[in-house]
Amino acid sequence: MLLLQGLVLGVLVGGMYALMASGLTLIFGVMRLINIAHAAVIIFASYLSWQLLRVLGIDPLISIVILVVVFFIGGALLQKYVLSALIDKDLSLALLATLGVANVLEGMEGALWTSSFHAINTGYSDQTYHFGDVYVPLIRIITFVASVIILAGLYVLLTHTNLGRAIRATTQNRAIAQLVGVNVNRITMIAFGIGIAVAAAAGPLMGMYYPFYPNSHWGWIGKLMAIVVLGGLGSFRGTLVAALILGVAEQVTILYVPANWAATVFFVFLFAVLIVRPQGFFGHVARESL
Amino acid sequence: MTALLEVEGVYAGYGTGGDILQGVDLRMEKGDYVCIIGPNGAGKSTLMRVIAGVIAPRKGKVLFEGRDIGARRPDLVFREGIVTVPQGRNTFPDMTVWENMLMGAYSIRDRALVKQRIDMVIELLPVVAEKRHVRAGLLSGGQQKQVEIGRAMLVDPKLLILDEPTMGLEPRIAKAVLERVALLRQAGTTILMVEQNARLGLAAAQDGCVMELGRIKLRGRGVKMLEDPEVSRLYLGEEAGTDITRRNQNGEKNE
Amino acid sequence: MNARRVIAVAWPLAPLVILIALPFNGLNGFLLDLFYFTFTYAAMSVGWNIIGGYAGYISLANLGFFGLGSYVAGLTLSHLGWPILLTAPLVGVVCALVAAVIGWIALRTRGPSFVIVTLAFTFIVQFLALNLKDITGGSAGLYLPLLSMDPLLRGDLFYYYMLGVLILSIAVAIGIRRSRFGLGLIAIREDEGKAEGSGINTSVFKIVAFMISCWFAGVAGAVHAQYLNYVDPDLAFELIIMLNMIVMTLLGSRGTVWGPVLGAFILFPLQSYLVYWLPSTIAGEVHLALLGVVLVLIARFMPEGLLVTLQKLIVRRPPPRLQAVPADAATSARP
Ligand SMILES: Nc1ncnc2c1ncn2[C@@H]1O[C@H](COP(=O)(O)OP(=O)(O)OP(=O)(O)O)[C@@H](O)[C@H]1O
Ligand SMILES: [Mg+2]
Repeated sequence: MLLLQGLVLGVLVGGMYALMASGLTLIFGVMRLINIAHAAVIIFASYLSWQLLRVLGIDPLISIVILVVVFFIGGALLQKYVLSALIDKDLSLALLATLGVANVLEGMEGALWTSSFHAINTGYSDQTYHFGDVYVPLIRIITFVASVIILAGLYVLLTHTNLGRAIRATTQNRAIAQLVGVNVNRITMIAFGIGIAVAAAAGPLMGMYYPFYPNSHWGWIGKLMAIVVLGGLGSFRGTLVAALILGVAEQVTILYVPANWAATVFFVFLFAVLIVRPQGFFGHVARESL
Repeated sequence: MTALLEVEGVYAGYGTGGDILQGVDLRMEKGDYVCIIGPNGAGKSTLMRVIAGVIAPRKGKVLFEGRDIGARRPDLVFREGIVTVPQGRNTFPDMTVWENMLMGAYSIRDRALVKQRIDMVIELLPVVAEKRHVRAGLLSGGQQKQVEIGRAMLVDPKLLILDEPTMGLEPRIAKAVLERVALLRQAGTTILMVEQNARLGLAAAQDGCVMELGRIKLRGRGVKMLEDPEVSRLYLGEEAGTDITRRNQNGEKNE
Repeated sequence: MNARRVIAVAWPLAPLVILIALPFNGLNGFLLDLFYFTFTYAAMSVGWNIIGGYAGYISLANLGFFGLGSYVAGLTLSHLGWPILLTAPLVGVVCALVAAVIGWIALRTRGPSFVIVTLAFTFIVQFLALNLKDITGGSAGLYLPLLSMDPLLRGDLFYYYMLGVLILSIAVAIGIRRSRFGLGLIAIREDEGKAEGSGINTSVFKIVAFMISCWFAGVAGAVHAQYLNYVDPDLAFELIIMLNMIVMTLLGSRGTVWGPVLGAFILFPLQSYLVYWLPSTIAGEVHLALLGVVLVLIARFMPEGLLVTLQKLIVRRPPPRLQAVPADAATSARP
């Protein structure tokens, strides 16, 4: 019965992990870039959502809409004016630039909101439902459903629109995408913007679920990397599966060991995957070729 | 009258390496069908890449309908009406065959037209319909090549560049593809093709060019070149030795 | 000609003599500390540069090894009584051996797994330091026995110790740069496929470079534990340490011998001044954010770093020939 509890909570949190990681995997796919700032962007969105609730009384679920738009624009500009120039020169410079961005966000949050814990508390935050022996906090159902809706939207975008197909084509074979008339620079910019926008969407949800503080993004980026590596870097579907697996593994582990040790599940998986099968388990991005 | 495509004294190479193309001149009128042959490493594919905009010429000009497209990005060259099917495998491996087709039609906004063109391709290359839901990366090499060629036929290019289009295709399909290319040409498309199977290529095309060491050595009517004993000896593999090495290298590329 | 050669080879002696002589003229404690920190950062940056600059693989593990070094040294001191200043090189060896394992996992393949694993490694060490409470004291940290010596001499001791480590790091960097090993690393950075093709065992090269790199981080961490007489999971894994190694190397010029040193000597004093000058409530946060901004700006606008940029300005070279040249000339002109 305890196991069932872990399973349910694992799936619920896994949905949110999937949302948090999917932008990372999308960005890696098109740019071959590990966005070290990804979790920092999520936390930044959490802070903004917290601020919007505090000052304007905007519900975090509503603030997702605002944040998605703003962060899409911000991400696209960052890609266009900073990262794209670096990637042409040297991918490792772009990587370091994202490290720089992570620190800028962290330092800024610390200066604006102090380094203590914050949490997004809404009126409906504290309710819990019981289904037989399984108890489920309402907030987890809400974050799960919201995550699934956003991911479904992203999935439809990627598979059923011209833009989405162009993004996937650019991911799989940049040179050939150009030869069928895709402006890969523009698509890359948009894809990065979408990746950041998805991170922004995850921010308020994450902030309703867990407390956060400026440097908590370091813990998160480690987890997200474990997810995308298990999912086979760059694979959208793989990331969804991996997020669910790790969510369940974590929640089940929590039942048996002290909560702070549950985070090690991610690293165990990460190292196991890299030792056994460096290309990940679920699908992989094809090698570039001309 | 300006030619459709004018390549004038082009030098090009990769990265910091030396020049692979060393002064290529090539002129194509509208409606031409030119087949380029030559030994491995002569620079044929490099020339195709220069025209397609994948690499920029270091010196010289590439004029298309009189406009200089030498420094243009591949997608803009594509939008000028030059469609390229490069050598080797060039599908989007994790997309279905059908999605690959749709990517070929990426630049066409008119949905009805896309549908009509895809139907036309299916008629020619049944594999496209049979495997429409299969991921392209799972097809055999020859099947992938057919998908690529089909994809290129979706748009109605002014200039179609085919780099070894029949490589890895079974003879029947290879023949069908070349026949289809001939039809496209009758419909007014200008065609530039590289073909290792020189006999097949020269027979199909109107003009033949021999490329060697980064230059175009020789140009003439395709059929005439087939009859020319000198060309036969040097480039059509009448000497057993060269023929075998060439076949082997091709074989490796097909995997 | 000969005199120029002597200058070209022997110029580092001048600053070296100055740095050795400085404490004799009664440097105050503040400046001694400033130099100690600068040397520490310089040595770690030189170390980072071996994997991150020469081989071109971005490592985020050096921070983990700094912390690991601190803890290993601190624990052997408090449990076994081994003096850190003697064991530091061995602590470095322990770190290098761990680095070999990490490298084996992450460096067998090309691509992004290295940065992920090195980041994860740093988390894991920090996580263990925080959660293996019985051994490490958890978040309360570990208080170490003090060095029993005159506090004035103590400052000098750390000054010279890290100066020595810095000199060693530079010597190693020069040695590598001139060796076949160093050429191999640079070949890996330029084009790993080609390097492999030309018979270099790239995995071994990368792993050895990573081990050397982490040796310096471990030694610096060990010495720093003694310097503070204290280790805790926040100080030992402070992100700004990692960021500094990278920014200093980048600012000075990645992949050069002297770049990281130059970067450290410029950036550390500037930062000390900045932190001193900022209101203390937000000093840490602003410091972090500014360093992040500097990192982005350098990457975007001066990715080659000061040294290479200056060199290009001063040394006038004939413009590179991009134009067509006859085939044989072109091939022979290649470097
Ligand atoms: N991407 C590349 N980078 C560096 N050099 C290249 C690249 N592609 C080709 N080359 C070099 O350019 C030269 C010409 O190659 P190219 O592919 O144009 O020959 P080709 O005539 O098409 O030969 P094949 O009949 O084998 O297709 C070769 O020496 C090759 O080594
Ligand atoms: Mg070729």
